[in-house]
Amino acid sequence: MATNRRRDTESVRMGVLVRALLICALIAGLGIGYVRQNAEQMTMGRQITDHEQRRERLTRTLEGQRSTLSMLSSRPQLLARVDRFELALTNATAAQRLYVAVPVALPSPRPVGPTPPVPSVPGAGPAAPVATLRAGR
Amino acid sequence: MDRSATHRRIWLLAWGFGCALTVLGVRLVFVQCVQPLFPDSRDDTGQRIIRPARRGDVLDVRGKVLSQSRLFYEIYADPVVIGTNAAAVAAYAAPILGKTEAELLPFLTLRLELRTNWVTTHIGALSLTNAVVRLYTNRSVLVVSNVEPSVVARYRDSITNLVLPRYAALRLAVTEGRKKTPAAMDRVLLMLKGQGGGLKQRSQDLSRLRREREGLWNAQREVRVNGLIAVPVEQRVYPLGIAAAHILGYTTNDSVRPPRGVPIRLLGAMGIENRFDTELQGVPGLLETHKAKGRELVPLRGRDLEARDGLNVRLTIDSHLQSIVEQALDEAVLAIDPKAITCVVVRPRTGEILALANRPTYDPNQVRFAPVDHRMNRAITVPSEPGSTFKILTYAAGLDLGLATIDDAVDCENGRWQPVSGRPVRDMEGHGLGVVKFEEAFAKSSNVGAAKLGLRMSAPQMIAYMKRFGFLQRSGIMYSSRNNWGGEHPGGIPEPQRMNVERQGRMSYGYGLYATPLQTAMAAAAIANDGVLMKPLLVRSVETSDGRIVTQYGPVRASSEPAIRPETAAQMRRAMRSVVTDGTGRITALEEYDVAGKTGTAHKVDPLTRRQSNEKYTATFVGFLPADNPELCILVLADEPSKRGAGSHFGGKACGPVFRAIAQQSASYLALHPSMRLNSPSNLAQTTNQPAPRVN
Repeated sequence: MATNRRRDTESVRMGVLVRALLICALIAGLGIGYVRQNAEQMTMGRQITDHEQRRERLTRTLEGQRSTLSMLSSRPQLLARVDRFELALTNATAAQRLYVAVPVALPSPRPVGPTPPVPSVPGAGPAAPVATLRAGR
Repeated sequence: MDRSATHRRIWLLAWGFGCALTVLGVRLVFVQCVQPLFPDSRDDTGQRIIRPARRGDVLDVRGKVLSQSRLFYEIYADPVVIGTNAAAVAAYAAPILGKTEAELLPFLTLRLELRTNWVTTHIGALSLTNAVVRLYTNRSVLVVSNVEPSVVARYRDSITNLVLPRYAALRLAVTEGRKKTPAAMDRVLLMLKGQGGGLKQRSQDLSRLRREREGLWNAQREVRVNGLIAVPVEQRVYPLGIAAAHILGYTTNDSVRPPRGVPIRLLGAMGIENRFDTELQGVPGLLETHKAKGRELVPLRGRDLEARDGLNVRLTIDSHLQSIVEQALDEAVLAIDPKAITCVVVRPRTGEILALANRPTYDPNQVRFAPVDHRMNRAITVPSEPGSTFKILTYAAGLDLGLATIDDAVDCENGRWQPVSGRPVRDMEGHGLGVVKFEEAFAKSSNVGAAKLGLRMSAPQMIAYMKRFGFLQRSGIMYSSRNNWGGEHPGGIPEPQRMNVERQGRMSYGYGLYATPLQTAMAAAAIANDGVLMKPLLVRSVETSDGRIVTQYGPVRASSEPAIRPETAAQMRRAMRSVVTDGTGRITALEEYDVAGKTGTAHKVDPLTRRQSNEKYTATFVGFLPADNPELCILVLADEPSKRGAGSHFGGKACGPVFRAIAQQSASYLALHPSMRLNSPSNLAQTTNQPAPRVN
């Protein structure tokens, strides 16, 4: 004010006004931002708990459905449905089965080491070499 | 005005404000951080929540669930908290819990009971007995169990709307009373007291009503929160019912009470549930957080540890084969009415147990209603005299020691033979044989033939071979722990130090020793496996819930040395094949598969006379198929089958049909390659001598 009187001007000092407004806006913005961030944190917190509860519910539902699946795919249940729908399914007879030879890569037989000693049974008969497991078995 | 004075005033004002704000700021920091005004405020909202771990599942070899944990709730009522509001609470909760008000009301009603406790006090040599009478109320009354979590959630969401009738009336009265018009006051007093009064009396009544309303609000809140309490219970569910009940076992509740909101821990009491209890138990998690007005303040969470669920145990049991066995045993119970019946199905090459069942049995979902003897796994825990099935070992030992060959002749003395000492050895009445090959003596189950072969070896030799075949010791199967009453029985010989010729002779055909059905089955499986005894394998692997294998169990030989030589095993397979083609096991013959086996019929000891009974028997049949390339070994043992005709209690007639039914269906399910004699161009795309691809 003294400056205005000295310069004898009635105009408002824009610089000071703008600075004041900016400072107020900054403080207000900080406050608003803090409140918004808090609100967002609370919202995300609620979402987290909601997701966790939903995951828990889904886990429990999955458990129940696995149990139901085991029960429904059990033999007694399958046979009951075969009877109910009158599907007349039976085991295949020998004439209905077709066996196809598939080349199987058999593991190489284990090497036969030195003949192990006679079985440790008193009075045992003459010992024979102990054979390894037959290939393919 | 003087400029310096103005400046001084301005600076003074600024300093004053600055100091005031500084003091406030310091005080704020002091109150918030250094010495809080309400130090317990965080404790009021802070909570330590234990995250319960889920018990692992037990699966069959194909991953089907055999045993699983489910979360249910039990609703408990506290009639002391509910007080006189039982009718209101019953009316509110009944539709949610699926009950009627009349069904719910007795659980919510407060009852007082005088109980007399007799207390004995000892003072030196004197003892004084006093009656102490105490007044008990019923608290923590179980209202309903097996409540789904969704029902509990619905109840918890809606219970906050419960308004007690008296509170509703008071709330209305106070609302009316606030209007303070004489007419309103009169209405209030009429509502509550049935009579009017002066202005001063009205004001006093209104104040009293307000106080009563506040007290009732607290009581109402208490009823909402603690009137009906939902306690989580982890329940073990067995989706297949009685199937594999004796293998799986059952669980019991831990006696230690957990914190509120945490389910009671389950402990395995029998079977796999007991043996793998540590692996099946998970590790609880922990959550430290804060709650306000019923909602969690997630940003204030502290430690957050997820619970680690228990590991899953995958068995070697095939639930489909198990079902075949269970059905066959049920039919056998109707046909031969035994006291008990057992079946074991083993894969000889690996020792894997594919199915194991007993009757009587129980439903593990209802274990508390099951008699104790129904829960016994007779295949593993109950030994008996094996009878003629033990001739497998006698003949195997004799042939392996070179004491005879299967084609050597033996004089069966027409069914009666007197050894050098002891009582005579007799064959079944009317089944005496003359001079026959050992093969025929085995096929026709001659006791004389077996005794003569058995007495050619010494007692230590016989006992040594018994041990090589897994008798007289535990097999080490992963079942209940040894200290558990349901643990494996090793079998045995009573008073082995008093062995004599008579006892050794009787042992040759299966008397005077005890063996479990599992031991007999594994011994027969060793014959099928070229003389190599495998350890019974019941568990395939221990896995995480997403299928990652933590521990895998593979086939293990019971000993580094085979029980007998492969040539001996081949002779034994030939002899066991003769049992089915020409001997006592003809009823077990299958059209598509060559079966080899041995029947057994053992007199039981009468507990009253302590002599062999002619009315009570143990009938057994053990066999494997296909005889030339065994894939399955099946044992069926019936305890005291009923005598409904001549020979109906014999091993062949009693257990043979059961074996046949199981073998036929199991071989079909596993698509076993039929025996070579059926290989015709009509049903073979390409003739092959290789075994069929293993279906696993």
